[in-house]
Amino acid sequence: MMFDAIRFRDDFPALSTGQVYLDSAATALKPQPMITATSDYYRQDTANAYRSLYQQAQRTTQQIETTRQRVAELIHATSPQQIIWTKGATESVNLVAQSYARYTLKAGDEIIVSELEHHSNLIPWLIVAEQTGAKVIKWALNDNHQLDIAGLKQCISDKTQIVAVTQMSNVTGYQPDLAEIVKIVHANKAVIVVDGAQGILHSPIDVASLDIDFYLFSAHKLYGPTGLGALYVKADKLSQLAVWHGGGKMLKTASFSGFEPQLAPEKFEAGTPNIAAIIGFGATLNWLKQWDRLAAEAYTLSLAQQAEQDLQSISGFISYRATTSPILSFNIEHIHHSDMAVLLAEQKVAVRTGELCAQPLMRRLNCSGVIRAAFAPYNNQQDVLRLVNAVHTALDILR
Amino acid sequence: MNALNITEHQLVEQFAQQPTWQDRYRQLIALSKHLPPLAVEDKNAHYHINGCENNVWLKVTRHHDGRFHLSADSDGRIVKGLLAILVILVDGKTAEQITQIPFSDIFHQLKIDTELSESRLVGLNKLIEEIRQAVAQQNS
Ligand SMILES: Cc1ncc(COP(=O)(O)O)c(C=O)c1O
Repeated sequence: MMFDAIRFRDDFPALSTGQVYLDSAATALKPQPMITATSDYYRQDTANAYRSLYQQAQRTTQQIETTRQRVAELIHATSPQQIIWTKGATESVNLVAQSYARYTLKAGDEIIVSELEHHSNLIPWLIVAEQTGAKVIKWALNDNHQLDIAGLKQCISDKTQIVAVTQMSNVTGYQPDLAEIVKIVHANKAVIVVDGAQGILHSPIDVASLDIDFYLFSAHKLYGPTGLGALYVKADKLSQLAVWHGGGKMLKTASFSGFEPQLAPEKFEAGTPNIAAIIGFGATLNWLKQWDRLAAEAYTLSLAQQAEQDLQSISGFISYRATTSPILSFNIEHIHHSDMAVLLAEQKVAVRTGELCAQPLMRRLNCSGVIRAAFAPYNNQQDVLRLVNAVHTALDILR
Repeated sequence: MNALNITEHQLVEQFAQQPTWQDRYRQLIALSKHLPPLAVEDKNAHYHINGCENNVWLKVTRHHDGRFHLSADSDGRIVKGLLAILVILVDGKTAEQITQIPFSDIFHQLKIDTELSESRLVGLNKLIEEIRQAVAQQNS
């Protein structure tokens, strides 16, 4: 199947503003079917889920479960019961930390966290370490800014209970070898938590065949709505998760002397879910099926590569891009990233700049921040050209 | 006269002559180069302004004659240019004169307010507030 980049781009109304959108790693743009489904829910189908018996309410419940099924299929979970709705990747990590780690960790146990991680996959571990007396251990990058297996072997031990690693860095776009990592983690009787926040957009994942214990992502980074995320939990871990938030619909029976929780996933979904978002995301996932995602990714990569190549001619250009990364983070010697950001914004080129919620990685890369152009399949050659020209114009002003 | 030896009038003139946004930024960068750097020992936590994307240091001192001296620095050139404007407007004035500076009118004349993004403008206003507070404190 060929990837029809023009037709793909046409599905994103936000692109009609003329802005060059290169901030897809912060949040991806939304395709028309998602927007339509969300607005239809608010315009004509509004109803709560799991509660009432009238038609809309029943349909709403049905749609939520259909979307759960689509997420399961997307990441190759064996059952939709393993998919828990959350607010996003961040809340998913916190759920694992507070419902799993908090009850399994003992003083002296260790949590290995890679040096690449977004704060969302670091701070929840620091919090639970503080609560339990466990320690967070850094899995350092090697000289090529990669996570090598030797490095993991160096820090893993029989004290290690959890290893937390990203599927794809939000700064360099580097993707660690998850298959190898999982093997070592499991050989050491630890569990693996994979942050799929960036990977979900670019790399199809098979959580079952990779044997991942916890996998999580945010819908908004996969052409979906904000305020929604998912947490996948491997079947044998699901029963070990303690209740998290208490409230409506997470229980079977309640009285003043106690309650009996529901089974997963409802057990972890107290209160009214983000219905509009789930319905919108269902539409996104349905729309996504028509595209050859590998071909789309190959196309996206070619754009990032071309941008890097074209910028390489600038003296002092420093690229942090991993090979085969759709994300191009860079700096230009003696130019402050925020100066570049202001002047790119002036030229309607949307990029992200700064620490990118990854202060430890910034320290490792020896910089106070970067400029990040994150490509997606709705970008095109024209976007690359406008970025490159805008950088030159900015330099012309700044130098 | 202020540390840059540029009057407010000259400043407005200089910006008025710039036809495009690129030229106005160039002017800002040029100004940043005229801003005397802050002494290394003054680039400390005491003078550092928190919460900006750039590092910013602001030092406000009161002379015995009641005039204030403003020195400032930043690691970003655009911010440094903005600081240079603040120095031109504030440096060498008394507390009373400083309270009367019509900052937003001047930024409007310089066309800087339309150029800068909302968050930058907030940042700029924050710096002005810092200066006003430091002046008020040392004057009491
Ligand atoms: C790698 C990574 N992990 C986690 C997150 C957090 O995602 P969210 O803010 O949607 O919870 C992000 C978002 O920037 C990310 O890039």
